[in-house]
Amino acid sequence: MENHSKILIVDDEPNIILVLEFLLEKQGYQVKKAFDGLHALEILVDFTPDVIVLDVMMPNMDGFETASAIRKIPELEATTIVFLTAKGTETDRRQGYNTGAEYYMIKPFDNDVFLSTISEILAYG
Amino acid sequence: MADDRKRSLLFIFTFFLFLITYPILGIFDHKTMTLGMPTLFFYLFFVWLGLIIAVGLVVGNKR
Amino acid sequence: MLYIALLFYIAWWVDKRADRGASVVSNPYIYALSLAVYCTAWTFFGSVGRATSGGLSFLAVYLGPSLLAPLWYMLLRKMILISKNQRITSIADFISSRYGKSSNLAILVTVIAVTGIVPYISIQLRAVTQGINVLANLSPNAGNLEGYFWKDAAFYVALAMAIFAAVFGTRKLDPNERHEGLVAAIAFESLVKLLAFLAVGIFVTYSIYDGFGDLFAQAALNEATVKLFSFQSSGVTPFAWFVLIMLSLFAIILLPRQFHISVVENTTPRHIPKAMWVFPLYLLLINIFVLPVALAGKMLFDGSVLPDTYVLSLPLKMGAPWLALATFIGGFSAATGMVVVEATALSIMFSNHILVPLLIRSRGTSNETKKTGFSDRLLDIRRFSILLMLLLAYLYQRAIGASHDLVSVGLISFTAAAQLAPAVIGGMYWKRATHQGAMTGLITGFLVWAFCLPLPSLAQAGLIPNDFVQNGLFGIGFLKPYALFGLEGMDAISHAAFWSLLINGWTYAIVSINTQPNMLTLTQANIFVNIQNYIGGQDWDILKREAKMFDLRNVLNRFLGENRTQIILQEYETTNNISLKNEKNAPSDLINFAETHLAGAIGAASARLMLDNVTKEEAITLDEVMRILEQTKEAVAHSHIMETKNAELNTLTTQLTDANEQLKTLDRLKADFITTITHEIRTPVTSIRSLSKIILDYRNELDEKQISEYLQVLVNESNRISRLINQVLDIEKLQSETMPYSFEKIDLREIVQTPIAGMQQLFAEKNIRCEFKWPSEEMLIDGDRDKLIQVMVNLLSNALKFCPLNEGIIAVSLQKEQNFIILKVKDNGIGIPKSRQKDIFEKFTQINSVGQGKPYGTGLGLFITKKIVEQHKGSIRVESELGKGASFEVTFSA
Repeated sequence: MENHSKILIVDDEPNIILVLEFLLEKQGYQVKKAFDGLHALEILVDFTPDVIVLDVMMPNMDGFETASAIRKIPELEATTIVFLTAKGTETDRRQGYNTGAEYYMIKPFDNDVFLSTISEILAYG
Repeated sequence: MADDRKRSLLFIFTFFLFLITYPILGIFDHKTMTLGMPTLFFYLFFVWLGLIIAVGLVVGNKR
Repeated sequence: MLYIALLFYIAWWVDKRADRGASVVSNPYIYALSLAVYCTAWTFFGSVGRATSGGLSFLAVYLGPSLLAPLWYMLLRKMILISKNQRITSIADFISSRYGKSSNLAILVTVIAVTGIVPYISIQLRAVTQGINVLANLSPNAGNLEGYFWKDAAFYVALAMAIFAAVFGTRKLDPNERHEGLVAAIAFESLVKLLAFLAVGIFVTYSIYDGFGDLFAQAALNEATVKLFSFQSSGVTPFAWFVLIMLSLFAIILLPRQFHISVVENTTPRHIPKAMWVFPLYLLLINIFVLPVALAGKMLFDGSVLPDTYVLSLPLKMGAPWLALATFIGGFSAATGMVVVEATALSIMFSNHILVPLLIRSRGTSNETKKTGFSDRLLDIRRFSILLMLLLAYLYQRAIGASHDLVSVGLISFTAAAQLAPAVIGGMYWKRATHQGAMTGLITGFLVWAFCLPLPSLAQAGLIPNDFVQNGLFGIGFLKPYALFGLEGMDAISHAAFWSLLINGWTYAIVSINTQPNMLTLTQANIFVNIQNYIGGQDWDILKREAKMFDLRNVLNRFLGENRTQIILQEYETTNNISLKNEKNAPSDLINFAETHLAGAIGAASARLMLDNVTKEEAITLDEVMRILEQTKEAVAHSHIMETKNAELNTLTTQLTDANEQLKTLDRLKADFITTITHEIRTPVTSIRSLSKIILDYRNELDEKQISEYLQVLVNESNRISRLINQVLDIEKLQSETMPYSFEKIDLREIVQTPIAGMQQLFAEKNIRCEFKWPSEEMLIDGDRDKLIQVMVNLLSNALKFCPLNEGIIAVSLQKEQNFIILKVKDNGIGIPKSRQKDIFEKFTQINSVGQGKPYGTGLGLFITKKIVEQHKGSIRVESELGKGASFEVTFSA
């Protein structure tokens, strides 16, 4: 399967980065990783991913702030933001959608469900 | 593969929707006869059969 | 009579086979044929009648479904998957389930379906009655309108059909509402009506005339028939044609009986692809001869015979009474098939969503005396509903009379069914759609429909004042039912369909956008829209429910019968490999399991209502962790006392406010605490779950090194969880005042020395030096040995965590100054910024080191340390500067 889709993962947990990177690279996606929001924004200066997988609780700049910041960048209009977080209350979810994210997934997640969501996003935008 | 099939089926739907509604239907909406049948009668059944065959081919393909 | 006996025999035989496990109806062709329940007396008698005035316009009703067939692969398949997953038993159930299992919506949809479909059933009664009259050589509508109902043949037809439907549709109570016998009989009937119609068509075309060519050629010469060759000349507008196609396109999935046959009775979605072309082919075949028969009738009878009865009158006139009889059986097949399935489908809705909830509410659940036999009663309720439906249909047909032809009455029902389209289709593809949106959309659509179609027809029949039809409602010209808002020049059906669907769709969308879905609607929306993620069962339920095993069993017994309950519980026991015998409380997933089964018998909304009576629901919480917050309770108690005193003493008001403030703060703290704990547990669980799945899935591709790397992560993350749990438990102990501290005289030198010795290995690993000079003087205090060692361990591991590799130095010192003993633990790590030095002793504070990610830890260590120190009447503080290490100083009084 050929696949040039680009994905940015942002999480402060090295082990979760490890997991996501492994899963996504197995699917043939091009993956970049960031350890917090600021780091992510640095990377986004010259990298335009199709999907950004974003944690919420992170040092320096949390996921909600990051998502809002990303949504202000016109070049990233077509990018889909997926929150992947342990914050699971209804308020969090709503806040997530309000910042302009399209998907909100809760940790722990099922590998297959995660991957099928990503491929669904890439297929239908 | 399944996606390809879905796309073809969606295409069949829209394509035949155009064929059996106006304005295209208007081309055949006359009192004339074709092959011994009223033109509209002939056209509608002909298109209908086409639709059935098209669907049959798409879903039958995989087996 | 013989024919009916044959049908019963087929149904009986198939059910028997099914009981033995050999399903006859699980076959794509049977499925496609049973879908042809779509072709009713309308098709059989009405299409011909329609063709004599509207030419080929009758075809729209069959082209619509054929056009939709290619989309079944997505649409119908999705509906089936959702319905099997949620154990949905009717279209009302489907809609209510999508929008938060709302019972109001279920009732609304049921009302719409029943009112909408009654005209449709009524035309079946009329067609059969007219058929009998034609065969008996009477005028088609003889005895129909005037006279008492017991002289009316239609009344007996209705009664016979009711009995027939009741016997067929309610022979047994199946939790999934699947009736294999019924399906087989319907499929057989579809075959009969097709053959009968083809027979009469061939007779007319090839026996009366000399084939298609001859028939059409003669028709072309006749002024009255050549008109029917095109739409223009027969007065069918492009818009009306389009509306008919759209209405029938919706009807094929939304009519209650179509939903029942295509979704509820479906044995596997694998049958869909074949049905996608077989069913349209069936429709094509049954329609080929409609126009020829209509033309022939028109030419031969010249208006002297009711067009709806041409299929019978033509063979009779041409001296083929046997064919007329065969045709009648075909038409009778079509009518009974429709009535049986429709009445079954409607009665499922009516009893599940209206009668059963009423019974539950009025009787309550504590009525133990009548707990048996509910399943028998359920069948009685079904039979009663079927009788009611047919009676309504009979009354309607008596009221309307024969003033409209069959098809125009049927189309009223199609328009009603189409009102469900936005809620159903939107619900499957648009997550944002809310319960309120569906509710308002359906109500407005239904009202517009009722105002534009059935009401005027009742008015014309003289049942209600006719005035509003001519002059508009309340005399307002804009509110004329056939020219709403001044829109004129359309036929009644197109007009009503246009306005009702437009208004329905818009209110659905607008209200949905402007309202917030509740939690359950959100969960259900997610299941409906992303059903592919849920196939295979496990859905993450947000709500955790508890119930007494005894209550749950009672509820199940009452609705499913003892045997079925036993089987269900056993199934649960074997799949989960546990025994419920000694369980007093039913686990949450058993309740969900029971709910889906119960939903199969009485519908999702009723099942939910039933279980609400026996369960108590709680939002997801860490039950055990909650207890830590004893303080909350104290504050509540405090605030309570304050409140009573406040009534007597206004001076206490300020204190009360303080208590409330405190309560609020504690509440917030509690919330923060739980959020953090949940987060802290979920994070390692996420890594563990995903990594172990990766190891499992890719074990053949990974090399040894990777595997051991991953396993090491698993070990670390598991340790992280156990550490967290231990610490949470520590906090609990610290905060409950009754902690059994065993105070004794203790030498602090030993307290310091023990952990340093114990941690030598760890220091060595990171190549860190730990210095401690053993003081000569004894350092005695009163204290708990274990607790104090814990303090020391915490301080040391904290220092260890932040020390640089290879060049780390931890200096520990112990000295006596006047009456105090001072313990210092100093490291040369990264240090703590001034701004954070106050916070670090709070719960869950973690100091992040820029560029190094997050240190491993729970943020509880220093909090616990501080608590222990305080319980020894000591104090702790920190001195530090960024980049220059940190020094923790603990002071005890000697």
